[in-house]
Amino acid sequence: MNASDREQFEEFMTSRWAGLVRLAFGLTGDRWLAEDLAQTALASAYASWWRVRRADDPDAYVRRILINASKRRLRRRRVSEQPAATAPEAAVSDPTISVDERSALLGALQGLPPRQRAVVVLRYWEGLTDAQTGALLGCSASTVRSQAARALAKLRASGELGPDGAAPRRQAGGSR
Amino acid sequence: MNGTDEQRVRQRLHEELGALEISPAPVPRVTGRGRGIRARRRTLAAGTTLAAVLAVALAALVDAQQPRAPGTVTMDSPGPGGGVFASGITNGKPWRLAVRNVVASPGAPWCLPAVMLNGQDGGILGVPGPHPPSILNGGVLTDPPGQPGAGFGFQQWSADVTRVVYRFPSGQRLDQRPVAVTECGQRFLISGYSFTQAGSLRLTIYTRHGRTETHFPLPDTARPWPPGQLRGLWSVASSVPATSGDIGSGTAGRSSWTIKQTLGLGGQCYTSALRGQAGGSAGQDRVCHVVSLPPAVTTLDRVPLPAAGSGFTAYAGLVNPRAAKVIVSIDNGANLTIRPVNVAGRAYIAFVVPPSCRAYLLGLYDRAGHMFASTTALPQAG
Repeated sequence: MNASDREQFEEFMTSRWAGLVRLAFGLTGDRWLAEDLAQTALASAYASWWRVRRADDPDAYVRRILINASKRRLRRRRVSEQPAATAPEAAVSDPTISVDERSALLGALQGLPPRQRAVVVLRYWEGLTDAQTGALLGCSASTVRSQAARALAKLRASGELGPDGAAPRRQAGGSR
Repeated sequence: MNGTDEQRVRQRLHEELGALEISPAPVPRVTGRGRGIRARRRTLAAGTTLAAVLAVALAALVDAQQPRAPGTVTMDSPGPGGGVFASGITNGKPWRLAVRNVVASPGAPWCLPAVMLNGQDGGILGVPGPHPPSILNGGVLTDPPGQPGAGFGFQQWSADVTRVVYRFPSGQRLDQRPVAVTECGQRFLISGYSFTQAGSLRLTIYTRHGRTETHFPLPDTARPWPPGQLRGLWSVASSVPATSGDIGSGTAGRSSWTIKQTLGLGGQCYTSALRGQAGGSAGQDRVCHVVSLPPAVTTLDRVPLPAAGSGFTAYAGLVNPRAAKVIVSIDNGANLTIRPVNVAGRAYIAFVVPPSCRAYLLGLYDRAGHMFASTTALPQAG
């Protein structure tokens, strides 16, 4: 990679970093994991920069890497989870992450199946069309619509989409 | 799904995700990871290539160490006029041996019988020579074009031979009744085979009077052809009367040229000769090709000219025996009119094209002056 390419990539990364971390946070609900996924996606983009640069939509290219990395992480986590005879010591949760940053709706999102969660984040946070969302997730636009409908029904049932839209917030201390 | 729910989700996501504090982009860390990914990809690609090369080399080694499967040979009764006396499959490729007249169409006064492999690669059957009892003639062809690694052979028998048993170096045994083929008014009692291993071929020959045994060496079918040696040429035991004659002449610059053809054990050969203005020889050159049947249009070959003719391009070859006249169109606007020369029943032409010019069309005309065939597929210089 020559100096001009490096400069181009750094500019790209700086301008996309925040958006990618937020997208990953919406998908995972974990701040540090979100940063790691964003780094992974951008590092892959750096390794194939000549291809990313020539892509019709470089943002879609990097988003796809991030979503695939997120899926892989999920699969690894499923495989690596082993039942233990004795319960591990209860972890001390970081209140600044679990309560402050992952607030009400994001907490409810984590209760959704991964694909429905991804549909909600890509559709309503990234503002992608059904077709664009389907292309990223490897499914049809009609599947995106049905997954979105199911996800919204679950969120409504969880009370996070109150009738007045003012869902309760889990304000447990700390400030954003 | 209603619009209000969607609006609420959109609004809440923007509030909650938008409020997330983001640390500065860790550019050095990401570019470092990117370089690592690239290095791993390169290593993986190199490893994959190396593994593929090793796998191919290993497969080749294993293949080379395995004994070669002998060729399978089956016999056919020749169909009327077909002249086929042996056929089979060797190394997965089908083959046929037949006796054919390589001179001209049936009814022509000239006739020259030859053994042909798959209709090509002719080996001329000559006058029977002094060979072991019962064997009048024989020939071997190895590694011909289209049949790599295979060898073929035939024996022409005296009329009293009723059965032949071949024992190949591979251990394969072939029990044959020679096939009678008539060509050029002659009756050939002939048998053929294929082989893939060099060594001694043992023959047991049964006649009405008894049994005799003999053996011949079979050459290595995988032996690389020495430079300059004509690939696809039969090595025939009997002597063959070569036919030869001039097939064209003219001038090339300040020299005069002639091209002569010779058809014999050395194949179909063309010899070019140049003479200077004073009549002194300016050298000769020669090219040989595998013997082929008379073509429907032409089998034209480039013929090298001695150094004095540099820049000129010479051609010689066979044309359809029906052709009474051939017109060659040159891209400088000239047309060459050539009368085919008949040598032992085969119709030949020869011509020379000036420097920086190219022959692009060849038309064949019958005795009535009608063009009956043409081609633009002509060998070019360079």
